[in-house]
Amino acid sequence: MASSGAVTPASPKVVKIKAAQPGVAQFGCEHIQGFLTGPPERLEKTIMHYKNCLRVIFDHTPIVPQTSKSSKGQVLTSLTPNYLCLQCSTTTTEHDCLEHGNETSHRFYVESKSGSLFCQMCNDFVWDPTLEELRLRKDGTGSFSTKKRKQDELFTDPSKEDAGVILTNTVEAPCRASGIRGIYNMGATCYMNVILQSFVHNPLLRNFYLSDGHKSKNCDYDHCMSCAMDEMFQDFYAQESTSGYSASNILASFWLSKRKGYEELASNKEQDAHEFFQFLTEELHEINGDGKPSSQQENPSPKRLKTGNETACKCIVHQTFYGKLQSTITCQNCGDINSSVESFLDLSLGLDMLSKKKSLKVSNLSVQKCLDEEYKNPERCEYTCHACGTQEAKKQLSIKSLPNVLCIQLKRFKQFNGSASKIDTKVSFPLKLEMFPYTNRARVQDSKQQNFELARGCTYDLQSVVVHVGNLESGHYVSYSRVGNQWLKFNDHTVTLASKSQVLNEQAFLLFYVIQSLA
Amino acid sequence: MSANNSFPQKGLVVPAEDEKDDNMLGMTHAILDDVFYNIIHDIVLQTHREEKIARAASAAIIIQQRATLADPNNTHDSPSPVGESTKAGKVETEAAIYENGTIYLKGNPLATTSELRCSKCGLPRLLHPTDGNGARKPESGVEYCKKRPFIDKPHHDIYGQTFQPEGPGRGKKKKDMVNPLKPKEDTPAGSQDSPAASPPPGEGPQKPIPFPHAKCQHCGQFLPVRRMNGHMLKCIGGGGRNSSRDALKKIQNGNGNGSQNGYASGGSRHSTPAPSSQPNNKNRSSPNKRDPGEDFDSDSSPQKKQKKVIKKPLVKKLKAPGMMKSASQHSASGLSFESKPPPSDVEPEEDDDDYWDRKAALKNKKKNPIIKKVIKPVKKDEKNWVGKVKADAKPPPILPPDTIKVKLEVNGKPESREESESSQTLSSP
Repeated sequence: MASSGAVTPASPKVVKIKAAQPGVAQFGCEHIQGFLTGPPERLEKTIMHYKNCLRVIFDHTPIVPQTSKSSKGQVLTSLTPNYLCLQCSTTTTEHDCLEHGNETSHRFYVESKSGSLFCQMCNDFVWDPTLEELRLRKDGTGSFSTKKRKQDELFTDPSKEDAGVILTNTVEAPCRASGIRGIYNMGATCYMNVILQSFVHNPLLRNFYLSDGHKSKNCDYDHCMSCAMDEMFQDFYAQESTSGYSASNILASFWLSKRKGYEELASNKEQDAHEFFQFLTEELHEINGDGKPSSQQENPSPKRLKTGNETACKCIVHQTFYGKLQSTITCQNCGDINSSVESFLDLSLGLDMLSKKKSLKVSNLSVQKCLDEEYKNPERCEYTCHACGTQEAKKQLSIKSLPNVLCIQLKRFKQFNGSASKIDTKVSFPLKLEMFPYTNRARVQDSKQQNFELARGCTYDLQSVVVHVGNLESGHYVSYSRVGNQWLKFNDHTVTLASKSQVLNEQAFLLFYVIQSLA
Repeated sequence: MSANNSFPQKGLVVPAEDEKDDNMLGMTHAILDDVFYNIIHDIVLQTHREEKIARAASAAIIIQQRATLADPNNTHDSPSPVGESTKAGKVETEAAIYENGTIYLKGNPLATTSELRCSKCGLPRLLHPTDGNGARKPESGVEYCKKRPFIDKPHHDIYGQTFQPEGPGRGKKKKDMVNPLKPKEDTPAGSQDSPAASPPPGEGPQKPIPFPHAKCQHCGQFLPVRRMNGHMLKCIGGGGRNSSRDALKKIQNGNGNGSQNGYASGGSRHSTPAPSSQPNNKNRSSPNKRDPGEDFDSDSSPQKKQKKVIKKPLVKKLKAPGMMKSASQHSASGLSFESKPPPSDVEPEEDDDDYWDRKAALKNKKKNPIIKKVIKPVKKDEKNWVGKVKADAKPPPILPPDTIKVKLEVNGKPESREESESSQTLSSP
């Protein structure tokens, strides 16, 4: 629903009913219509009240909205939803709701778990466009302001642009084109297919390419990877075809790119999907960013951009995938703190190291536990303090800024004594990932005083999962992606439905999480 | 929320009647009960939200369509209902009111609207898949939106296409292949007949998703998509893991064998030349050309071998004399390329000659005047070689192999040493 948020750019203080849109009813029901179309003060007051209710629900511990006073003055805290009156500050249980309505003829209530609006006259939940938008924004980002995170400029408000220009220059995609297609295996290219599928279903990249982010007509690079990607996105979202897509152009661009450090990747052998991911992001960064492909970027290590002050790059890849890690080294003797910041493309979680530790049981390893280990718990490190010279130091990694799309790699392949092997440990991963505990803000704050608003902005939804099946010699990559609420399994050119439990039971290799405010 | 109303008393988990009344037990039940209730509540609410919003939108779309139809000013050719096109007029259905471009709902859309309309094309959505799990027969005579529910059917993808290859014996588990006598669900929009119910007689077994051909960006060739990556290796290559390794091997082997002649024939890691290619080897390679001082044993052995083998190819060649002639009579380049076995199978000394030939030929083509002198002896060589082939074709002047070798040696020797080395380095990237 957030995607349809074509709101008239209203200053936040002036309360307005959401502008009429073709194909969408103006109000959720007749009753709320009568209520909101009354005198303007009432509208303003109602919206303010609704915002207050949402703040109570989302910004504080759930105990507050879950506690109500019965008519006898008895305080009651319930696990099941309560109802907050929209017209006064009463909180009622589901039972007393009707009673309160009859007494005061207050007919609108806010449900205490999700913030949904309940209309007593309809005797049903009502999804009013104006109020629902507020709710979604609060739920997703943790604040009401329309100003989103840094991705805001990626979503140019269509109403701001000239609608006429858009109408005349674009073609409406056919209903059939859903972006769900397989990609043919071109001979051991499943490592490529899974990454491409995860890109296709990445909302940021999709919007970038579908909004003409890379102008292929003006592009003068030979065998430009971004042009090939553009073509792929167009094919996926504008063609009615249900058969697979042959990504031969991407493969050709891949072969022809000859990027340093990835030369060995292009071959007719099975490759590491993660390496291809790194290659692809870097390639797209150079094409779309400031750095032109001709002028090779100065960073010597392609895997990780070492310098933290490379935020200048506004390319789509950086806006999508890059976050920042902060590592703080604290001397145990003198307390000298040395911290450095580096940007990261993905978080790599080691599995073999963790399973060796006794503190963690191998049987139920989860992504959160791995993250705990790497980004929450300090570790001892080899470091000589330049102030006092002691070698006792603690290293603390934390995330300074979170990316819009978080890629987590579970290191399933390890090198041991020169021979590679695969770790088949099952690692459970959540559909919703809370990243707040791993940020450095969480560290600064007292853990008791939780910041719900911030935490809500750090919630990620699972978008794609890349799975490696089989062993090292004869393996195969399969990917799962979510389209709306439906999970789909992509196995080269075949696409089948998948259930959530099927997805969650897989041995994930790469996980793509999209920040909740976008999903 | 009608679901809630049917459970005024939350009672999903109820203790059995004969259980003892225990505080802890009661609490556990209550908490568990509430937790279950919440889970179900959330799921129902989520579904409710989706459905109600979709229904409300459908009601709005329907009334908008009515309004556009009713509007006299609106010429019928713009099917996309834009609210602004109808400024005046009020249209009312049982679900909504349309007034001056704004739509107001009337009643609960869940009750008043029964179908879902696509917001893009305004056509009703098909609500049930046409095949597989939960399939229902769509109503006939209705044109549905092309966006259809996904099909959940074993061996079929979400569009109802099967990806299972036809026929048994293609894989291990293909025996339990589903009956391929399934019609295509994927007929374009407007197909009303239910494919699931009765397979149309005209259609044969459904074919699996075909593999198309794709164009290679590099050379413009069309290839089956499955072979694309392999093709890229050959076509673009260079950066590949194997090609670099192969190139390295080639270089190392070429040089190595060139210097260590002792291993060349018997112990070389190369595959020993096949008998069919032997005559070429024989004709042009001269074991004597190797440094005579280095190893005599190895020198002698290949000679013997070749002597033995040589008779067979002679017979072979007789079978197709015309071919050989026509090929050989042309330019030197044609000859050298034609007779040249792939370099990896070639013995080093022969490499020398071969590269030399090739190089000379290339130079010849370029018509570089400076090299003409150099070319001359080579041409002789070639003529000699050609003559030899001819001679092979026509039985009479059978020369003992040794003499030919000597001749070759005489002709080929002068510059071959230096040139061969340089050419080797040139030709191997």
